[in-house]
Amino acid sequence: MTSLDAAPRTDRPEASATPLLTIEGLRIGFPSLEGLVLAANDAHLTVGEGEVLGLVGESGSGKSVTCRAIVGMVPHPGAVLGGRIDFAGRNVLEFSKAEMRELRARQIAMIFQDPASALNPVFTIGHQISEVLRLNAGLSRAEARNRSIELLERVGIPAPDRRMSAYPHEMSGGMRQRVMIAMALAGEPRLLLADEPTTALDVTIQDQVLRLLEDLRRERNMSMILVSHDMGVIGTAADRVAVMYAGRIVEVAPTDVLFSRPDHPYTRALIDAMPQLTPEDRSDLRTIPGQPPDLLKLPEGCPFAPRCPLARDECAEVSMELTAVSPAQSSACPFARDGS
Amino acid sequence: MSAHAPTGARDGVPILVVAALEKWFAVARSPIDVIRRRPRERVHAVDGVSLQLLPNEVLGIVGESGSGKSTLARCLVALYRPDQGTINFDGVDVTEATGQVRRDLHGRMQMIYQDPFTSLNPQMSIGAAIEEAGKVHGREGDDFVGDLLEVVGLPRSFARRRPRALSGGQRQRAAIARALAVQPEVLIADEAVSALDVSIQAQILNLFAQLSDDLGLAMIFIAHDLAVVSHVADRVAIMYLGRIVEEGPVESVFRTPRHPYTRALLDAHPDPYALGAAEETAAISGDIPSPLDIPSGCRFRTRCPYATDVCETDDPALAPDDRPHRVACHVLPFGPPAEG
Repeated sequence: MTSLDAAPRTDRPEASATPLLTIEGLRIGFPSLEGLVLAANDAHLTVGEGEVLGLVGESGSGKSVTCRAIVGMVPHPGAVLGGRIDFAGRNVLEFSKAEMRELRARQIAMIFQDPASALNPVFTIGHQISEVLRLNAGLSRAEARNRSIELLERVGIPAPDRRMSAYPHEMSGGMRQRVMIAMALAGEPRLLLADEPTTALDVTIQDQVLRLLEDLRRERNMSMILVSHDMGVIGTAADRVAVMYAGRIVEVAPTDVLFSRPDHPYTRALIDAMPQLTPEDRSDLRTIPGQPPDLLKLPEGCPFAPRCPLARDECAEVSMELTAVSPAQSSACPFARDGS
Repeated sequence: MSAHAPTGARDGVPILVVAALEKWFAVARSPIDVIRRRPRERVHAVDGVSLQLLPNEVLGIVGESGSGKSTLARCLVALYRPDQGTINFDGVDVTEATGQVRRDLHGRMQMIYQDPFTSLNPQMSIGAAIEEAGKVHGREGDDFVGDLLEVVGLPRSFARRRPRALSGGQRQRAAIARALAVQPEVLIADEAVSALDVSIQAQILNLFAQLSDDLGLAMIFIAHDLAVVSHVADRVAIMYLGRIVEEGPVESVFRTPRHPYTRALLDAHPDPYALGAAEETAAISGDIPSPLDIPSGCRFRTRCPYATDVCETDDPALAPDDRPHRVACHVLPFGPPAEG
């Protein structure tokens, strides 16, 4: 930890000066019968110390696989084809298996959408959390048990000592996600990768879990990448947001800027397509014409061009470099500003 | 498509009337329970629901998992036989209908599900599926397949395609076209847009709004997402553990919720434009109680911050008020509803 400042932060941090995680030019490919599918295509990201980066995109945009690449868990037969992922100054793509295990044990933890499939159904949750603590932190059986109870208590599980002997199926979805969070915290990670952590939960439970994650982030100065397809979740929980489309990051901005002054036409379209709780007028929602792109048949240049209201001929030749719109905001569309 | 004009378009006369509907399921007993002659437990999935649907009206039903909203929908289309109460569709008792009467009912009420991949036959082309549905209900000759595809916004050429060659949004359009093929008077959509990406979800929501406007279809629109319901529904019913706890015009219910549960749902809804507001409200605590073990009195009292002694003993009824905005709560902490 660079700073152990215990004072609680009152406001959300600006983009941190020394990022904990930097992803540059990441390319992830999946071979298929019809050719190579690029799930991530020249993706760039940074995550600051103690920052929550929201990664938003529709299905197939590459957000989950980008997240998994950070911990060396790109599913077979996919592979990282290029780029670098620097975590605390070292490129994790060059890590040996042992180093990667160490990284996952102590530095970077991950939670998933469906905790039921991430927990082992035949062991009690107490057993599973204690196992993590004994293997990763070298605690004795008794120490691990006490620490597990503390962790379960911290994540808001009622009667944690009794819950230690419960099996995953005896718990609700929200409780299982809390258990997953407790397991993730066991290694005192500096970075938490949360892949759609609340998608399977009801809205009141989602609210509870998001609040818990926010409290934990503040109390531990933990960084987080929050992957979600839900602009609402991203908008309430992230400090900064990266928008992904067809394997590329098309816009990065602080959350309030992204929602008040989106630059990229795709970001605007996503925001416009969100149904509002109490809409001003209940006329039609603005939609994005067409379908999400076929990753096998991506157009030259900007992948959003075929659906974009501002598209012009140059879009086929435009390079998809993220360029700064303001110090904190960058966008991959060079034409958005003359259009507005 | 004049055939779609509602046959019973007498304004103010409900096309569908549900009275005190109950549906319960017996829970499987273990052999030990059988030997010990423990009584068979029952889950009350729907526990006393009354509602009305006017021709031309879109009624939204909102609730978290386990609230009984899908069970209610299945009772309405006679997929489940209710254990108590009545469902009256345009003068016909749905619960008692058999034979030809029942088949006719199926032609007048159609259901659309969350995942069109499981409701469309993978071996059948889209065109054949639509045609079959129409023919079973006595439609023939004319090229209604192509017309219907156009109504739902698909090219006529899609009639030859199989479901797997379509994207999620297109499949949902095809499922809607098949439902329309039988010229129903009521559409029941059960989480019909929940599995879709934001941009596609907006397209399908607009399609539902258009169907209700152009074809004058009455609709019951079930969803867990409040904003989605807010966009298509005229009236909304909030369900909790098998009961309707609040019901009224969408504007009134969402802007001036009267039931603490409705308020909690609205507060928990992630809204990026309400930045900071979420910090002030307290998250409602705990999980939804098991439907096997419904709390006494008001079923929401275990999670309600306003609960009093009365709530523990007396079961609040949905006020049989003639006002359009009705609520089942003893305490009513939030003042009177908006006019209208």
